[in-house]
Formats: sequence, C-alpha cells, structure tokens
Amino acid sequence: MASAADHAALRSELEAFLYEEAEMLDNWQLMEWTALFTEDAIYRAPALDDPSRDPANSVFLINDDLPRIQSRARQLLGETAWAENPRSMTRRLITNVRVVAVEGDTIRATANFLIQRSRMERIVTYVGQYRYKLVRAGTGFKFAERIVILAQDTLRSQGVMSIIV
Amino acid sequence: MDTLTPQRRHSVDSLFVEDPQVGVFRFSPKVYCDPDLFRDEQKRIFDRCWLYAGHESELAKPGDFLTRRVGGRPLLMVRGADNRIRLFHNACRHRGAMVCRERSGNARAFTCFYHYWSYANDGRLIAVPEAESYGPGFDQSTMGLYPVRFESYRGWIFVNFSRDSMGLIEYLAEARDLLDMILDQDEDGSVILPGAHEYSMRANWKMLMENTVDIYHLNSTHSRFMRDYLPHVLGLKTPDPRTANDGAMSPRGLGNGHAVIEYKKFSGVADEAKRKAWQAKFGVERANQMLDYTRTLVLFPNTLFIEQRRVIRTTFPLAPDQSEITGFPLMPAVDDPEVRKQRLDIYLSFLGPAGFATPDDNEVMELIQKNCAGLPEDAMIDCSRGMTSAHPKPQDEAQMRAFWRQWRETMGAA
Repeated sequence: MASAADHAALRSELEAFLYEEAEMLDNWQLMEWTALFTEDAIYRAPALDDPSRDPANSVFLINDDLPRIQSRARQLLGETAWAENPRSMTRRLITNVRVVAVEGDTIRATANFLIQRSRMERIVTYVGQYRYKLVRAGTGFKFAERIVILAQDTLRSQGVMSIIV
Repeated sequence: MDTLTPQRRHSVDSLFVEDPQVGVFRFSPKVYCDPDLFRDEQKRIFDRCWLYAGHESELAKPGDFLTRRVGGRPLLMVRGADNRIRLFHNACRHRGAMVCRERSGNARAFTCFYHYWSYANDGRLIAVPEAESYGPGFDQSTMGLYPVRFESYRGWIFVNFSRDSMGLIEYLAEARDLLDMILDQDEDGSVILPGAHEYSMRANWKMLMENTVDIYHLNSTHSRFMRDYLPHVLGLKTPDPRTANDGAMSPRGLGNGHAVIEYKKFSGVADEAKRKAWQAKFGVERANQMLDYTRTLVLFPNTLFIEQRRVIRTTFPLAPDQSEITGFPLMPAVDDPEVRKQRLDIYLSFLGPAGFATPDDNEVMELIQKNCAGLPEDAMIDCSRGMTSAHPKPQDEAQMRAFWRQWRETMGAA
C-alpha cells in the first residue's frame, strides 16, 4: 500500500509531467508529444453523450492508435491541414490532477482541462477531463491511454475540434 | 401562404447564368448569404420537402423514444406500446412547452412539468390535473400531441411539414433505386450506431450539399488525408485523380434535385463467393457495380449518404451563415467484428469534428462564406465542370447542377 505521502509525491511528479505535455502542445511541438506515448497507446475521445461505450460498436470523436497519433501530428505540422494553417493559438489549463490507482509501474490518474483556442478572430473553448493510464518510463512517464472526456453535450458552438485536445 | 409574383420568379432566375452551348453554369453568391432568400428557403424548402429525421433502428423496442430538432422544430419520435412508430411535435397541448427533454430513452408516458399534463407513448393525453375546472368544450380525447406527417423507406424516416406535398416514394424519384442499391448490400438490414457527430459550420447549408459530392477537391483540400493517412497509415497508394474513377457511372440528377456520384472503392476486393451470390441475386452488372464502386447520394434538400463511409449526413440552417451538421453512422445490422472495425476506422479517420478531413471542409466553406456578402454585385460562383461532356466524370459538377436547378425551381416557382 502506498502511503498518503507517496501519493502526494506521485501527484506532484505527474503534475510536472502533464504541465510539460500541455506546454509542448501549446508550442506545437507535436512530434515530441508523440514520443510521450507507448507503442500500444490509445488516444481517444468518446462520443459526448455517453463516454462508456465500446469503440468497436459506436462512433467516437477520436480513436487513435500510435500510427494514427503520429499521422495526426505530422498532418497538423504539414502545410495542408488547412483548418490549422494558419495555426490556432492555444493555452491549456490542467487542474484537479488526481491519482486514482497505482499497480506496480502502472498509474491511473485523472485531470481536468480547459483549452482556449483562438484563430482567425474566433475564440472557442474545450472543457473536460482526461483519464490516463500511465507507465513509468525512465525518470518520467508515458501514456498508455489518454482518454478525453469532453464536458459538452455537442460541438455545435465550437464547430470542429481540429487541434489536439 | 406567401405571395408570389412573376417578378419573384425573375429575381430567382437572375441569380443564375446557364448556357449549355458553351458549358457555363454560374450563380450569384447571394444564394449563400441573402437574408430574404434564407427566409424563403424555410417556407419553400424546409416546410415543404421531405426531410430525413431518423431511422427505425433507433426505436427498437416499444416505448423507445428520441427527441431531435428537424427543420427547426423539436420533434418527439416514439415507438408506442402497440409497437407503432409515431412522430409528434414535442409540445404540450396546454401551453406548448416541450414534454420530453431527454435525448433518448424508453418511456410509457411523457409529462410536461409545467402543469403535469401527461401523454401516453402513442400521443394520447392521459392526465390533466384538476380537469374538473374545464368546461364542456374541453375534449381531452382531441388533445393528443400534434402528429407530424412522416413516411419510412426501408427504415429511413422522413418528415414533411406540409399536408399537400407529394408522397415520399414519388418524391424520391430515381433516388429510390440508388437507395435500394446501397441498402440491398446490408443483407440483414441496417442500424444506426450510437455516437452521431453533432457539429456546425459558419457557412451556408447548401455548401455542404455541394462539398460532400465534390470529388474534384479531394487531392487539394484533403491533401493531408490523401498524402499522409492513406499511404502512411493504411498503406494505400494515393489514387491518380484523372484515372481513379474510370468505369464509374457519370454523376447525374435523379429527379427532384436528388443526385448521385459514383467512384471506385479505395480498397478491399470482394470475395468471389459473395460476388457470385450477389450476381445471382441482383444481376451481374448491378452486383459488380455494388461491389467495385461506391456512391454518394444527395437527397434534396439537406440529406446525404456517403456509402463508403457509411454516414447519413444532414444539415439544417440556423442562419444564412450558420448551419448545424449531424453525421449518423449507418452500419449493417449483422457484421463481422473485424469488418465492423474497418468500417468504423474508415468513418472516423475522415469524418467528424476531429477527423482528418471534415475540419478542412469546414475551413474552406467558412472562407467562402466570409466573402459572399462583400463581393462585387455581378460576382458569380462557378459550377460548370463537365457541362459540355456527354459523359461527365465524378470529379465534375453535374451532381451540383442538379441540386441547384431544383433549388432554383423550388425558390422561383409560382
């Protein structure tokens, strides 16, 4: 059993990791960002009305494995991701970081996010919760699962979600 | 009814230039931004045409219901205890509040919380608190939820807010045969899967009707999909646009503004057993067409089906420059899990607010919209590709011209 002090130390370590990740995304260091994932990682955003569904039998907003994560990053960095050329200006607030469970080298954690995206005289926000499965990697962590649960009932007011959320 | 004059016909016709001799079809950008045309569209198109509202598979069991805004109207679609599907205005007969505020579920009755009037799942008004205060002119048996005119074709539910418009089958015209060709492939029927994409664009709804059947833009607007995702994730060759669709039938109008384009499947070769079975069932030519090509269907005014990606897509205007878009995944009811996974991958990689294509479509449509109102008075949008060809290609624009001719007719008719 991990002690409360261990949990607090782990949370603090996780916060530092997640803040670095947010900084990378805000700075469009997307290839560096893809290196934060394990080989068998998944990056998903389930449908807004029910995040508990099985992606094998329902449509998600995002359901990426590592090759798709890498393709997404390459596309966004290329010139022909027209929706992000010119690029959005973003700032991400990552808060409420909680360690949910620790099993050996595997950590389950959650965090809340608020992302403001500004582009071509329009400002939109994306709000929600990340649900992570992380594994220890060297001195840091890697994402085995990075699940985005948006706290929005539709994307009508945002239009699209062309950035990495 | 609105009043119509010969001047009005002329004013709609004057938005278009059409000259088949030299192959020119153009229209004024006002069609995308003029507020008077927008108001007329509500009356002449969305109040009179058949609009896709939902699918019977979404209401599988007695009591299953869903609420959805269709043509600007909040609707309640419900399968009654008697197993019949009915559509209603989601409005209490007392003061008009919405009686159901859930998106979907199963219920025996719907109660308006304002004064607790209750309606059975067949629409009958079954409870009115303190009903003794009403006089003899209050007949509860005539106070059920307002029904909405609807008809189904092979599970697709369409509504019509006019009592005197033609029936659905007549309205679908030749599009019915194309729908059959598409739906016959789901030998055990089709189902809508959960997770519809609900998003929007700051552009006119008609642009989506054109964009969805625009093959010409694939290699430019969707360059990142064609040149990164296709080769580097799927391991497929980026097709040469000039020859990619050889053998496909020409895009064509199907009557009443409906249209179809056909193009080669990107990937996947049908197994020979299936081909033989389908050839016996549908005829050799039709079976091969079903198996080797794929189609996108325009159902005038605002519904699209992209067969390759298995999406029923609708768009409804909120304003001339603001449109809601919804994508419903329609899959075979019985599917091999591995094939289902492929279908979902094909769907999601391209489509949706976070897909590798949809955001770029939105971007270009919004760029058009930003220009519309400010262009010179005589500015025209060009829609002439393939007009002088006896055999237009999928990457031409005959399918869009079919849509526009119907729009012109509907908006200008006396």
